Amino acid sequence: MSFRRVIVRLFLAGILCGPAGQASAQTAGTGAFADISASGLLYEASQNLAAENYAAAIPYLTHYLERMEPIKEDRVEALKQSVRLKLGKIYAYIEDPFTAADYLKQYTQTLPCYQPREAWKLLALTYYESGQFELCVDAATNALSRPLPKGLPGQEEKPAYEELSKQEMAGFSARQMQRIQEEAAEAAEGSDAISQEISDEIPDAEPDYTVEELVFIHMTLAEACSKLEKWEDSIEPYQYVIENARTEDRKGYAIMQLVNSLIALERFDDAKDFIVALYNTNARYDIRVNMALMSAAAVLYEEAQYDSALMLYRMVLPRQTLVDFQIAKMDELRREAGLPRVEIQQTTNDMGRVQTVFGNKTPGMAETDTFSAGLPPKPMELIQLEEAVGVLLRLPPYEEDVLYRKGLLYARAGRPWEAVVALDDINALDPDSERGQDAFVEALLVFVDPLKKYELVDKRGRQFLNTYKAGRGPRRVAHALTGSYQKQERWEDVKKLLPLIEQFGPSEDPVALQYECELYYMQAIADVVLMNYPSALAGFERVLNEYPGSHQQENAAYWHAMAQLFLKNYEQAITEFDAYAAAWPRGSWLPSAAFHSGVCLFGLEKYDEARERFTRVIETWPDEAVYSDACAMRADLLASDGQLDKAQRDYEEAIASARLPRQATYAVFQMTSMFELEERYDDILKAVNDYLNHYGQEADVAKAAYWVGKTKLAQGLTGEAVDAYRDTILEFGDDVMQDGVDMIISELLALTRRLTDEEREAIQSSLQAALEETDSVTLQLRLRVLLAEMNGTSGQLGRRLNSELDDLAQAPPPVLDVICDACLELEDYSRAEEILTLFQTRYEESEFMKSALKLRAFELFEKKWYDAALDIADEAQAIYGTDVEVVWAQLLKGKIRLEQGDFEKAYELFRAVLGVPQWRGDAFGEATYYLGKVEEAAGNLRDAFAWYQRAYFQWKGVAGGTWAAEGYLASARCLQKLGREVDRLNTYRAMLFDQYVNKLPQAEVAREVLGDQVVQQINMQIEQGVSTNITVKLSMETDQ
Amino acid sequence: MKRIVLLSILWLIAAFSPAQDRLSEAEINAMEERIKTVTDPAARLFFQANIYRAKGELERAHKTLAELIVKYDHDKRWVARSELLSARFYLDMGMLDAADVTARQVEFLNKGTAEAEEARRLRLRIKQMKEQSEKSKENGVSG
Repeated sequence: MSFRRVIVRLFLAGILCGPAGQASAQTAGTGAFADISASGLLYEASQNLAAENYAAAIPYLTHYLERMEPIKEDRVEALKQSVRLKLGKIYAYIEDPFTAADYLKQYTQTLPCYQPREAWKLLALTYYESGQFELCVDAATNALSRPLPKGLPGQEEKPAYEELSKQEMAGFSARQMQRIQEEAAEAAEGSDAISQEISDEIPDAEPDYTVEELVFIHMTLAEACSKLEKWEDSIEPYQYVIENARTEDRKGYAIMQLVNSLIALERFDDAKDFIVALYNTNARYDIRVNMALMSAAAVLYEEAQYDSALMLYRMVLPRQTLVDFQIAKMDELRREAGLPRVEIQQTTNDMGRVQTVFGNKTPGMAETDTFSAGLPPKPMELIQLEEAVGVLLRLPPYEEDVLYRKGLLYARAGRPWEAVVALDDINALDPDSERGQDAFVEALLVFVDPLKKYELVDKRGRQFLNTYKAGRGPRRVAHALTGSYQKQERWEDVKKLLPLIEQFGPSEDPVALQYECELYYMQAIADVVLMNYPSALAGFERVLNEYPGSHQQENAAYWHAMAQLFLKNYEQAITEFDAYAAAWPRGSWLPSAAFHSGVCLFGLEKYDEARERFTRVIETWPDEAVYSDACAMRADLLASDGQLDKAQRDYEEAIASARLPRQATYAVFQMTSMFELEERYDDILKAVNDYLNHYGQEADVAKAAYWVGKTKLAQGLTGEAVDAYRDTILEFGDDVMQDGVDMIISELLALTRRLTDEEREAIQSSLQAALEETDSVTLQLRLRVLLAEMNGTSGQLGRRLNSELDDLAQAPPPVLDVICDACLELEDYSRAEEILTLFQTRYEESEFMKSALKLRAFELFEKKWYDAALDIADEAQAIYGTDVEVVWAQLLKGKIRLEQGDFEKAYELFRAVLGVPQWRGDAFGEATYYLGKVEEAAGNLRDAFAWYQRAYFQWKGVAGGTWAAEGYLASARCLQKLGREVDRLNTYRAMLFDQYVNKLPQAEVAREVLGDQVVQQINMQIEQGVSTNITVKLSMETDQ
Repeated sequence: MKRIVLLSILWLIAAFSPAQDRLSEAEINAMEERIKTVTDPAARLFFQANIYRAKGELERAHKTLAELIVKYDHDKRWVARSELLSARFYLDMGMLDAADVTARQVEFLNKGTAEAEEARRLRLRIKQMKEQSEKSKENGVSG
């Protein structure tokens, strides 16, 4: 039986504990009603009402109304109204709200209406009971308007005692008469039962509602508004109930309902105030309130009102606590009613339904309990409590859910230690369950942030992953670990998770798959950060192929294209960027995709198309981050095209629109390089100073110092430049990534060659002192290289460093460079790949990468991995062009073709060397020699001989005479093959006379062939100052 | 017996007033002996947390307190003071936001009580600390 129904019955005044069925009055058969007079019908009805046989009274009353319907006399009208009100009450009592409402409505709409307040009150109630909430709201509103009774027109008023004569008053005073009336009325009011009186008399003025009634009406109104979701309208009536209700239970319930209304209106702050009020009442022990708390808390959680949601969840009591509280109350009621204490038994009936029995018989139940004999009946309140507790005990367990929610809320609200305790408790209850694993993950996330217990996260996470391999849990844990490593920038550790991730059992769960997709995406991103681009490419491909349509589809497509770019697969990258733009015309990466496709075109040397692409980015996305980069790139193209004014404007725009320091840094120093071509040192100084002023500590100070130094040099302030360079090296040289310092080192080395000995010594001393002082490994290495280069011992240093440094991570580019040179000398290629990878991943734009490329290319050549060696050589030439320090690339390419038997190509490559003026020197000697080798390999001995001869005629002064010496020997070899023995011997003789080569090891061959006697003669002739004019000629001369 | 237990609890409460955070080893040992007489589980956790705090094991203290708050949050005798102490622990750890959230809940749920007033004062202190921290950061950048 519902709480509301009980209230109804109280108001209707039919208390159930009275023995039912005592009715002595009989109900007449239908046909017999016609034989009963009108007054007789009313009499019978009264009798039944007196006997509280309410249902039995109905037919008499309804027949009366039917019979008296046509009669419109005032007295009869009054009686009919009285009957209607009675019928309304009776039907409400027997729980037929629809019929009750009909009679009550008719009552209120008909005159006379002497008890409108009673009627409206009941009408509100019956409408609520019947679910007609709109009508209920109207009725309750009418009730609260305190309607006045309305009589029939012209109806006699009640006697005004003051106006009666003495005779009429029969000796009583007016006051006495009034008091008699009141006492009679009180006597009639004393009973809660539906009054048996059916009268046509004008009753006394209807009293105002009691506080209890007003609370009831307001509650009904508020509840009806809630049902209609008229939350705003429900607030005031709930507030009335809260302020005026006497019982804590009702007050608490009203608070709960008000909270729900405020939540529905999103007035979360107001709701919070009432939550506090609820917290301080015993309404928390009300079961309905507990259920309502959980619902409201769930809504607040969804609305991210974590503070308020947490407070509500904290108020939810465990079931046993509620039961204990209610049992205490029940025992008190039982004691008052003379009943024994509660004994709760739970039984299963024939239908398999669990029932709770509390001892004592309750109406409607079979006599199953031996307690029932001889005991007083249970009070209504006790029965209600038993019902409520029964419901509670039948509920599925909710405590775990509440604890879990509290854990989440403590985390969201920012109370991490409470969060982990709650979540760990949940996990401990059932670690294998989905809930248990979710709790584990949530606790792990709290340990990451804000607790930063990374070691613990590692330990717990890995233990979990070693135990669980399937389902959502391990994927979520792996995700949490990845996040933790990312926060700490431990990218290698992110990669170490991959084998674990790949071992997860297959899953169809969409959430698990989403996490899995995310994990592989994050793995690929780690590869990008670690510059492991082939793995990154494969990783993004996996996301695209194995998780089509995923939430990372767009990002993976973009980054796959970027990986292609990083791998210099420019054509493919462009295709993919264009495909991205087509698939996501409003994608978040669109501007970046357009920009990077321009970069690819630049890489393919399609400069016009690249410029168009950058222009499109500039014009289409002036507010995007890539705008500055596009301006800088277009400026580079304009500058290389000689359009320096336009380039300057673009650089300045790039600087002005830069969102990141690196964007401004690039543009500033590209612009300064451009200014240097025109010797605009004042402009360089201004640009650099503006940059430093703007970016302060975020600026690349070392690079700025480099340019300031250059400006000073141009101004003839060599000493100042040297000092500035030295100071910059000492200040920033401990940072391995400061490429500006490396630029300064190169510059300083070039500069010191122009200094006096004294000046050079002074710098060396100060650098030496700094070397002894510093603890920084990186700075120490830089200084050692600088000093070694200055005093010509870099070769030695390189060899020492090669064996000293196991880990090259702290070695900046100049140091790697000397190590490469030393390795080249020793033909030790063991670290070639490692060093080149370091350069390509960290120092891609360093001038010091040339030697690393050379070392790697030579290694590959030695291993006969010719294609790979060619790629490296091509890369070196692409980066450094015809820089004399990469002439080895051209020569190596020729040698590779020679090895491959492609003599034509080899010839072209070596021939091309001779066409580059800046390569004049050692390279010319070597190329000339190798041209001979090509011809010899091709079987053209005479041509070969001619090239070899040229090598020793023209290039004996280069490379220490090496190529000349080799040329001599090779010439002799050709002559031997041609059967020209005399010429061969003469060649050897000429070799021994040649002072450029006669001390070289190759000369030993000549000595051996010629024999001691001839050698002695030659030596004597040399001592005597004889020179030789031995020249061997062949009939065919080669074209020079 | 009950009276002895009650007196012990009162003595322990007095011993753990904020002014007496620093206890000697002997005092701590005495605490640990007396706590064995406390049967109320919430009370035990509260005092145990304070013992850990006196020993300097702040994290362990906080975890113990958190256990009390989570498991016995209906026990009004201990919840408010525990949460206040939790707020102070967060403050000691430098977690100002967590301290503020915790103190705010204490203030809110216990309006008109001494705990609410203490929470309000604690929140003021947190606010001042946050403002000082902001100023330091600004000075660091410009200086």
